[in-house]
Amino acid sequence: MHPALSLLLKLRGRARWRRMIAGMKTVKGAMLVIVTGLFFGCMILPNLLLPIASSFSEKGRDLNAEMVKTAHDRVLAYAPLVLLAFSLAAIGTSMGEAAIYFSPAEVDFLFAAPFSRRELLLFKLRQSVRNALFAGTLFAVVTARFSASLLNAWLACVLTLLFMNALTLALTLLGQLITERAYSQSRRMILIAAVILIGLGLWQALLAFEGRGPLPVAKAFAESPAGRVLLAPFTVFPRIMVAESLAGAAPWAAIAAAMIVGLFALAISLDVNYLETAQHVSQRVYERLQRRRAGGGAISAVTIRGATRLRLPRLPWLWGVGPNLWRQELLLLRRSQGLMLIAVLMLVVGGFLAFNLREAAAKSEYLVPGLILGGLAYQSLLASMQLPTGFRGDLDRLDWLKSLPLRGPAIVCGQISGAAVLLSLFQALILIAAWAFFRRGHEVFVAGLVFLLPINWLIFGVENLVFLLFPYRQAATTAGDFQFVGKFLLISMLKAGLSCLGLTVAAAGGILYLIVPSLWFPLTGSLLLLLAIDGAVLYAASLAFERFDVSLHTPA
Amino acid sequence: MIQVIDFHKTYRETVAVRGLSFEVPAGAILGLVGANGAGKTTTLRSLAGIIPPTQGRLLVAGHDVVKEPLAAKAQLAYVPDDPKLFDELTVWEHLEFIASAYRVANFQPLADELLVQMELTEKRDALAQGLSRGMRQKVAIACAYLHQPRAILLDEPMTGLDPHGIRTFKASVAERAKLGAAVVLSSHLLSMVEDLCTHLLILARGQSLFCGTLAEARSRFPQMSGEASLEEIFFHATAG
Repeated sequence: MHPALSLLLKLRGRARWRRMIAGMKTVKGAMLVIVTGLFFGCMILPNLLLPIASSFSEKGRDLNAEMVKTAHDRVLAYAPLVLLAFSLAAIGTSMGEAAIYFSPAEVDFLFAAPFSRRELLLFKLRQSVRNALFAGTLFAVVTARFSASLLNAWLACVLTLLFMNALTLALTLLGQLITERAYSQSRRMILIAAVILIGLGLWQALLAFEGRGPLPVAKAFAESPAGRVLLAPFTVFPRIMVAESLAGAAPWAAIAAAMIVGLFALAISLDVNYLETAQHVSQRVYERLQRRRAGGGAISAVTIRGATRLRLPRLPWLWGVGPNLWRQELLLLRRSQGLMLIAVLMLVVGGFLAFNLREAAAKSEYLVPGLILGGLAYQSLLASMQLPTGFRGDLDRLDWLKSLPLRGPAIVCGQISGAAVLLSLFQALILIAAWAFFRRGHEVFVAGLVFLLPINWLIFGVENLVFLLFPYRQAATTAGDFQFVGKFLLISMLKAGLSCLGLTVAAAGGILYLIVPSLWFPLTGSLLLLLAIDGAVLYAASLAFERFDVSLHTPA
Repeated sequence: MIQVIDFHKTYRETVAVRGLSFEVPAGAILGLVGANGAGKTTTLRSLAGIIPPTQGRLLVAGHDVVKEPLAAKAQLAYVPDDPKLFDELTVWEHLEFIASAYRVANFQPLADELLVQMELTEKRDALAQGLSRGMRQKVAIACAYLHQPRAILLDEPMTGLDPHGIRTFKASVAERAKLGAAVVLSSHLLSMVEDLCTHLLILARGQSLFCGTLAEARSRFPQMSGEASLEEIFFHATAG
């Protein structure tokens, strides 16, 4: 590789450490690193300690052996299918383009510099190898308990990641080699061939199904002629993971390494002029990242063509709340298309579940409404984190918001209500549809409809209040931002804690049931308490907004 | 020094540039002007070897950008309209990297000189992510000058620069041209182009409306008076 590109990798590696160490020099930064460490520790430690703990008794050892055996069966059956599905998704969608993604700075500096395309590709490959080593090590620690040794697990994870990378890179460049039009056709042909083979395999698998569960179906598919052809390269990697010793894993690891080297060699030997495509990919990924940094979550950063033209009639003045509320709702409709897609999918899945729950619903009046309300509460929490809404979505426009001739509470109310109203409307439609379908548990449905808006308002109000007190970007500033995970966790915990506190206080209205044993009396009490808490959140958020200093508190 | 011969660039059905030909000799500064979407950035990006031409030849210091990309790129510097720096690297590390990429031996004295010239000395060890828009532009320009390129491509180079920065930048471009570099500068600031450029290329919808010196432009459009400004010439040429 060109020495300058090696130097760049070295400088960037050094910069990451520098950034992390600089971040740890403050008490806040050090605490965030500790929280991040604890988070990963909680993920990893149980996997390391469980086999040790179980080795103290015979029963524990047997139980652990049984668990490992079951896991091996599942890994061998499902892992090749998952890898195949991922590869097909990479060919069929723009996921594969990530293989030739260069950051905007790399495009600006490297593409115009005297580096050959092969040198740039090698640079990219070295980055991929480094990332695979890091991620593979992390996965290996988590999965080691299901493997003969940590080294087996490490080999399996690293080689799998490298293979997936090499495969998508080789396929993307092969597609590039043929002209764009032919590329689409060839890609379509590969997909059609794969779908036919999968269809044949699935047909045979379903014939063997006989209601025995998904594991036999997966095994039958893998053993069908079509499954064998499609899954052949992917069956190598789980075998490294489940091999009984390092020596047993060695031949499979050698095959995997040969496939990876072959694919990388193919990608480099093609010498495709990928620079123009890489530039477009870079631009798209950069724009997506900017949308995330502007406040939306990963899902909402996905765009659907045409959705940006959605319109909404202007709202009345509403004591100064109207203009901002209208702007928020319009932006939400135009920006959060990915989330709308998820909502539609949730509706489809919900409809399917509802259809299958008819018998259970006949037995218990409150089961289905309870499940639906639980699902909607989860949706509200997810939406409060994912929607590019409120002050988080307007982080780079706070100076403009502050310059508006509107009172603080009116601005804050508009910022909070946008998402709360829109989400409540959507959820009310779901509740009404479910009510009409099941025709039971009327009280729960009515209570759900009454409480929807105040609860959503509380969740989004707390989200905005906490954001104004501790502003942060939704996406990490740079790859070396190690404190990001810790910061995000702490803020999420604070938001969840405040929302739960508000809901618990509101639920205390249920005490009124002791005075008047009727359902509606305590519900009215809870509703009034909830509205009072909403008012308190509005007041606190207005104060926080007025004290927010754009020049000091806007994060980089 | 820079030669563009019958250059075409098409994106699917959209024709960005159609049959463009021009030449920039050593020491000349060519002002590339045109409305948004006229094909200025596409032309510069193709000359920089970032996007391949659909048809035609692009030569930098005698090297074909498509056939001998490395030799051509070694002779040129390109500053995009909104340069993206490596956020996590310092200003000095950017220069260090460029020196390595273009194999500039003993780059430190020249890099120090450029930092002084661009008023970046105090920001030498600052991370790029903390720099203002203008500062980032200055870093990109300093990086472009470090390897003493024979062809310089500048896309809207003055965006974000302060008045002092603009003056320094203009002087630096004139100095580079005096030393023998061929400069292509794309800008919407017509008065600046008029001040700085020796040659002019007016683009509209991917085609050349005029290419030559300013004096030639005035004689080319007989309706214009001998004292007509570039602004008047531009609007006259692009009208209709």
